[in-house]
Amino acid sequence: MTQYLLQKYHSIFKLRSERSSTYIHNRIAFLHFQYHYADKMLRFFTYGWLIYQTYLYLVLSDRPSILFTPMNWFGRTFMPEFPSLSIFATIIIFALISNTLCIIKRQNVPVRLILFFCILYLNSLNWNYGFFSHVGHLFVLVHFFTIFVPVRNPVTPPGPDKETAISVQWAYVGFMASYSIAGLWKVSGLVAKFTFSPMGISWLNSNASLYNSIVGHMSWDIPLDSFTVQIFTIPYLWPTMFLVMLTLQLNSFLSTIRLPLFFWIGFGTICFHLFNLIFMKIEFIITPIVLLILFFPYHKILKDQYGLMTLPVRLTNFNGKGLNAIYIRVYTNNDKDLYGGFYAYREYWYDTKKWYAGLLFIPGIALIVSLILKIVFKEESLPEHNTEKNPESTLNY
Amino acid sequence: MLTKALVFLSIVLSCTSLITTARGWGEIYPFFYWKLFSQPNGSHHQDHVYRIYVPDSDSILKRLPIEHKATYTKDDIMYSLAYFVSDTLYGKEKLRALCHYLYPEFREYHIYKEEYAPLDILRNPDNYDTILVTKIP
Repeated sequence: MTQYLLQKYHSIFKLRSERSSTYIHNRIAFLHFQYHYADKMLRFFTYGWLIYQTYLYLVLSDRPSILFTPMNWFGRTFMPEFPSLSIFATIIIFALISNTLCIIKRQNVPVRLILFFCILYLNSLNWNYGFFSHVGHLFVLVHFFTIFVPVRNPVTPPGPDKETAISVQWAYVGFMASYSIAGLWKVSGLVAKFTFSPMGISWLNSNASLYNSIVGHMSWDIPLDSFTVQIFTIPYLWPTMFLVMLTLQLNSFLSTIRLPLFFWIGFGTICFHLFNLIFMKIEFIITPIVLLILFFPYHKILKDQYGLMTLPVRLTNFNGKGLNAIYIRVYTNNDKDLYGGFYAYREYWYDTKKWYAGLLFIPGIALIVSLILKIVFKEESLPEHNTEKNPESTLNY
Repeated sequence: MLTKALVFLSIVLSCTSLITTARGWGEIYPFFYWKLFSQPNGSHHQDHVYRIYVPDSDSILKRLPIEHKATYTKDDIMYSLAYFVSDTLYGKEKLRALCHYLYPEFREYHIYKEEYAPLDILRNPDNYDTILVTKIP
């Protein structure tokens, strides 16, 4: 059924996407390469995190024991009272050893499992003083979803590996889905506002961000300076910013599924956290660092190594107009990717490095633009001369 | 494939968490329940904070502004106060311990709820209603 609808949708808008095995190979290479370095960086960052968590333990040990209040079953079961120094030290040592082993022997699943449980335990220190903090969630989740991701150097033979790439893809879906869920809650909040719970203002109200910021500042007893207030009262800016942010959040789980969105989602989310810290007084420090490690463009810095793994494009050809546009990409091994309709435009712009090209891969954009093209270019019939000029595209009709 | 299984496991667990939370049994899966800022703060034109007040030398109440104190950050104090105030079983004992820990130089504490409207507080930072929540001798 879905297959049928998809075919129908493609034929109405002349959308075509025929990707060669070289395209798939390059995609696998990117995912494998990206996580190979992200994993290395993550392990080194984990050392820093363990030191920070030890510092946190020493700080918290000064608090009266009566204030220790586990907030969920995990805390009540595994950390019913403030952990003694011997227990804590044991776990830290286990974590340090397994983290080191993870750097030396990168495909050992049991070691990664042990490390994950140590980190889960250590992070739950944050959950036991009367509130359930979201701080450190992403860090724990990254360790959780990458337990079964085997990593070896993709540059050395046998080269990039399909299984690894699929695991990396799913791991990113797993931990980035937390942002998509946060987005879904905002959608549910909006729906509620416009249906059964119309009291108060929604995020689309021009004052919403100002309100949110006032409450954030008030909770820290910081007066809001007039400059910030002026920024927050620029008309239409904040509802628009909210919609941009909501789109970003809802699509977060797609970062590795639609690779052109990868860096937009990664760096967009980092900006989102920094913005919240500065303007909303919502503090997340570890999360943006972890995001930077996961989404850093390693292939830009290690160009030579990356180039060894991927097959470059030899020539490209863009032809036609509107719904009849055809774009062909030929690799050095003569493999071809062929795109039609709006897909041709967005792949062409992506290859010619237009800054906005990645955003056109957001789901729904193709449908909207194709619909507009269909209405605007209604009168134009098949441009015969184009099909003649370009022998490749005669295959299509 | 195992990573894919983990993703589906976490989706199932978080859906279960949604149900258990709605029933008041708490969250069984500590992650994936991300109901953060689903409405803007203060969206009902009103919000509140809890603050600690202490009697002065002339027994006039003095407001203690929130600040980084002992091992508690501003957020730690804010969330702990709100939680202990709502905890009717052990809350008062814990509040006392928290106040003594943060401000050992005082003997008596009053916890006040400060209610304000966001736009009013912007014009005048002192424009809020105070409601006594509890007195700790």
